Order: sequence, then C-alpha cells, then structure tokens
Amino acid sequence: MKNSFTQSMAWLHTWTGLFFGWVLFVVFIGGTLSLFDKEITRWMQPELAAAGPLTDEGLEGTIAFLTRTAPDAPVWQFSLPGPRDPAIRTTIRTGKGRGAGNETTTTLDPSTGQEIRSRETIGGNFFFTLHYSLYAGNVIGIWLVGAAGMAMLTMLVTGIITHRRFFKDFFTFRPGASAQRMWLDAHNVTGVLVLPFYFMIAFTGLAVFYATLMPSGLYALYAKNPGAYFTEVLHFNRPPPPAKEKAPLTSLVPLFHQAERELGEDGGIWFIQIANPGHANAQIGLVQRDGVRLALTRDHLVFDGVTGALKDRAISGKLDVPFISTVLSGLHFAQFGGYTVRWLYFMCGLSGSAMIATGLVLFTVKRRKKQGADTEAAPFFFRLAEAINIAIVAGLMNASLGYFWANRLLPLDLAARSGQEIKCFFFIWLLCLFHALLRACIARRDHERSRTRGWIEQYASAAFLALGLPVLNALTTHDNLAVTLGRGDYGLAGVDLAALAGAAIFIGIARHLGRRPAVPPQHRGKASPALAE
Amino acid sequence: MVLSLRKFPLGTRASWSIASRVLAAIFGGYALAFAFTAMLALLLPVSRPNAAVAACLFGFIPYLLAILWVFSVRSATRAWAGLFTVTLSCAAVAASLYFLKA
Amino acid sequence: MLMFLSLSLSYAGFAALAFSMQRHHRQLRSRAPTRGQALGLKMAGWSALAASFVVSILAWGSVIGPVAGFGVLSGGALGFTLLLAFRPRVAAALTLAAPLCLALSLLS
Repeated sequence: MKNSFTQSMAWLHTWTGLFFGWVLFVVFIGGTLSLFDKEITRWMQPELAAAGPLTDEGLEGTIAFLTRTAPDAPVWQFSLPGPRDPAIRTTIRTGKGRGAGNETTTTLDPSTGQEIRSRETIGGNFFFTLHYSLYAGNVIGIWLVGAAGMAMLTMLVTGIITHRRFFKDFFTFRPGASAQRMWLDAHNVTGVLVLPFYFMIAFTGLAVFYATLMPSGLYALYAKNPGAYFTEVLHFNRPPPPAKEKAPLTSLVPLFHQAERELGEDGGIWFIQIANPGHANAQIGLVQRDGVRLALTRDHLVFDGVTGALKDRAISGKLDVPFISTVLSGLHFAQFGGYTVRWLYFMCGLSGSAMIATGLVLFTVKRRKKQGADTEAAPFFFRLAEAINIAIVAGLMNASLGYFWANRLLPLDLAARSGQEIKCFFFIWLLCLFHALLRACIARRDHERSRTRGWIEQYASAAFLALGLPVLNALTTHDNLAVTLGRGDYGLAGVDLAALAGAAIFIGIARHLGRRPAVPPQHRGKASPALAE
Repeated sequence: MVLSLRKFPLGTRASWSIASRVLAAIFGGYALAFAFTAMLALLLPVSRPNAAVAACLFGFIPYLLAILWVFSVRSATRAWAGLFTVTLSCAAVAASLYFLKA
Repeated sequence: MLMFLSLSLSYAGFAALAFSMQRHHRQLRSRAPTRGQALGLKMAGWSALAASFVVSILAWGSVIGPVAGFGVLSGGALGFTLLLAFRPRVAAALTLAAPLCLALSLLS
C-alpha cells in the first residue's frame, strides 16, 4: 500500500466532491451570472428604455408616489439609477420576510418620478438568491451553501495533496485522449490554473456570513446582545417603532444634495431608506454606491426625517469598523474595478463551474471502470449519481435559459408574474431530472453511446434555447442584437452575445460526446497509471 | 488506513468508522472551531469589534484543519478524542478569560 | 492599454514556462529543448509573470491591483492552455502579442 495519508485525502476529495459538487455547481453558476445581475435585470425589463436621467423633480415625484401608494408602510426604500440600472426602484415590504412574495417593487422614471409600467420580474436577483441560498430559505439555504463553502476549501486542499504531478501537468489538457484522461486533464487544468481565485472566493464567501456561520467571536465579546455589534459598530440601525404623533416628512432634495456632496464625489448615492415616514420619529438614510473602493463599506448619512438635521454619519476610515470584513466581502462581491474585474471574475467563475462539472463526471467515469458498472450488477447508486450529474450540470443550463424564455413568453399582466418565472425555472429543472432518470433506466448498460445520450440531448436542448434567445428577444421587443450593438449598449447586447457563446459551448460539448467512439470493453479494466486514487 | 466503500460495504465495522469520522468532521470540527473562535476573540489584543470579527473570520481555518485531521488519523476513536481535547481546552481558556473580563 | 499589456505578459510568461517543459516543447518542435534553452525560457517566463503583476498594480493601483493581478495571471494561463491544447502553433505565435502591446502602450 502506498502512502495512506494521500489515500485518505483522495477518498475525502472524491466523496466530499460527489455530495457537495452538486450544490457547489449551482452556487458557482448562480454566482457567476450574478456578476451581471443588473444587466440581466435590464434585459428582462425592456420597458425601462423610456427612463430619463435623475432630476430633483424625479426625487420629489418618488416621494409623492410612495406617499400615495404606501402611506402606512414602516419603511420606504428606493434605489437610484446608476451606470448599470436606468430606473428608480422602490421596494415596499409587505410581508414578514424578504425577497419575492414579501416585497413589492415598482420602477419609476428618474426624471419625473412617474411609474414606468415594466413587467414584474426579479431579473438578475434570481441568480443571486440561487447563489447564496438555493431558494431553500434563509436558514437551511445559507447553512447548506456555507457547508458547501467549507467542503470547497476541503476539496481544494485535498485536491492539491492528491494531485501527484501538480507542476508537470500544469498546462496539460488532451481533448483527444480517452474519456477519463480528458476529464481528469480538464479537472486538473481548470482547478490548478485558477487556484488562488477558488481559495479566495470560498473563504470570502464564508466570511460574508461570519455572523451567521461562526458567531462565537461575537458571543464572546458581545455576550449580552450580539445584535448590539451591528448597531454600535456598523451603524446598521433597525428603525424604531413608529411614533404615535404624525409629522410631515422634510423635503428630500436638499438632503440628497448634501449627501451627494459628502459621499458623491466617489460615486453617488445608491439607495435611500426612509423609516417611519409621516411619523414624528421619521429618519432618512442615504447610502453610498458600492464599487468606489475594494472594501464594501456602505458609507451612509442618516438625517432626521422631520427636521432634516444630520443624525449619524457612517463614513469608512472614520469609524472603528472592522476593516478586514469589509475587504473580504468587497473581494467576494466584486463591485470594485468596473467591468474588467467583473469579466475576470466571470471567467474564473466559469472555470470553477467547469472544474466542478468535470469532477462530477470523473466520479462516474472512474467508478464505471472500477466497479464494473457496465455489468448487470452495476450498483444502482452509480447510475443514480450519473443521472443527477446530468440534471445538475446540463439541466441547470436548460433551466436558467428557460428562465430567460419565461421572462419573454409569460403574459405581461399575469398575477404574481415574477414568482411564475421562478416556477418555470424549477419546473424545467425538474423535467431535466426526470429525463436524466428516464435515460438512466432505459440506457443499455453495455453501450457507451446510449449512456452519453442523456448528456447529449440535454446539451442539445440547452443549445437550442441559447441560440433562440436573441431571436426571441428580437421578436418580442423593439430591440435586437444588431440595434443594441449598433448603439453601443453592451449591457443588453452582452446578454444576447453570452447566450450565443453559451450555445457554441453546448454544441461543442454535445458534438464531442456524440463523436466519442465507444471504448472497447477490453480496455475498460485498465486505469490510467497517472490517475490519483 | 484504507477508506473505501467497496472494500467495506455498509453495515461492517469499517463503514461505522467512516460514518463516525464524517460526524466527527462535520459536528466535532464545528464545535472545535466554535470554541477556538471564542477563545481567539478574547485573546486578540485589538479593539473589541475588530477582535470579534477577526476571530470569526479566522475560525473557518481551524474547522478546515480539523476536517483534514479527522480523516488522516489512524482511528475514528482517536479523531474524536483529539477533537474533544482541543475543543475542551479552547472552551476552558475562553470561559476563564470571559469571566476574568466580566 | 496597461490592462492588455498585463494580460499579454501573463500569457507570454505562461507560454514561455510551458515551452521550457519537454512535453510542451515537443508539441512545437520535434526535439526537446536544450538545457540552456529551457533555463532561458524559464527565466523569461518568470520575469514576464512578475512584470505582468507589476503592470497590474500600475494599472489598478496598490489595493485592487494585486486582486486583478491574480485574475489576469489565471486568465492568461487558462487562455494559453486552451489554445495550446487545440492549436499549439497559434498559441506560440500569440506570445508575440506581448512585445507588440508593450510597444503600443509606450507609444500612446
């Protein structure tokens, strides 16, 4: 027996990979798409093309709109237009929780404060929620994704330990080699070349949720009341219950300009939060836009909502805010450095998704050889794992593209439309799972071709959905790829172009799988000598 | 130590060892990290909010090390014993510091 | 422009490192590199990678620079490796983009 330490690390890598790889792939794809969340949202709300630039009249109109439509809401919140989002978006909480179903959002024209009737959708935010909680709720979801983050760190370390020829195979990718060799090459190359990013993104991802996932440091020092940490240090004040006395709200415009002067030279105000509007203890908070620095500081000013007096000033560098946590979350959210950094993260995210997907495929490819999974005695578990791999990897592509299609095809006046779009996503994903399970049941086990058929069919349908997306966009809106490219609107054109690029990749994979000849049975027993097991 | 499901199908002693290690890594490792973080927060010679946050952030690293260690020692019993020792020591230090400060 | 310079330096650096290895040198030429060639390529590669990182810091500043620098290094490595797998000659030829980028950025 060789080094048993390496062997147990390999075991840990394999099995952690199988169980958390499914979660991690979804987290990676969701996070990667979230890098362009606002572009996706804008693509999904073509009606917003009518929005004008922000004016004082627009701010006053927004307050008038909120007073008219939500006079009794405890909190009004609205985001201001920026380089990536043309509209004012108001959010009124209607339920106890957060997210779709508990909030109503409205888009307003920044130049007038009048409502722009745009289709109801949560747009790119969908992928953000998928990324950090998998739509499994804020407790189960966050802990599940947190566990996957720890698993990712574990797999990175065990992966390095078990990778016997880290430097020798640094650039080695042989697409023409045997299936196992090729997937192992791809897994190694995508893993090794982007390694610093994976460590960074997994660790900072956990760090973002330190107060939920590892709160004992807060308990130890803020034992009486861990929540005090947030109000004392971060100045995240939960608004007090509304006062009994009524009082009119002060004019927002001078406060906005004061805040623009203090915070704006860096990048402007991102959103405004008005607590207890119409009551004597109203307060107005103005928060700085992310992306002016690496650290995610959310600098803000808080004014008295009735007198307009400045009550609190949370400016980074002037407060004892734990710098390290703002830097770590800044690194994770990638709001710094503009589109270049976004694209770098996007590429690293795709590479990570590829690493996870190839790892998942390797599991079944390797098992198939070792366990004689081709025979009648093939363990049920491995065929199930393969079907789930198909549903997670290729199925997620279909479901994500289906979400974009649903945005264009669902009737505009459908009730709870944004929820229906999400249901379409999960419905398509479920269909993909059924298809993969069906394929696993009827596949002829001795035939390589019939086993890859599930993959090929799902990639083919993903390619169809991706190719059709720019066409659908052209048919259902006034814009099309030629028009958006022509006027230099790369945000909107980018969605169409990314769909086309995705289609090319899906077609490439499907063709590669279809072309691959069946491995002669007599070679199946031999594992590649370079294989770490 | 060879950990392989093929050699040790479900229900055998080795598979219990694997299950025991998995539990030790997930829950024992978390308990260790939790206690370590509390101790670190009380030990760090920086301002209160910085100590609290730095300890929480650093706490994921002992968790990672604990997971790796659990799967590299000779037996599951040893893994549990090690985890218990470190966790209890950290917790003891944290508790005494906490009451000293209070 | 500095951004592209940094990326092309990263690409060129990884290309030089790869071609200093026997396996990848053979993808290009029929024989293995001599000891001197391998050493030269290695040194050139590491210098180009270091230069890429420095240029990233020049381009993005001392805070964002190192973060973007790592991203650029990974990007160069991934791009080169993919190209090397499918079109090794094109991958080698593209290395020349680095000095071209340098010249252009000095001119502008």
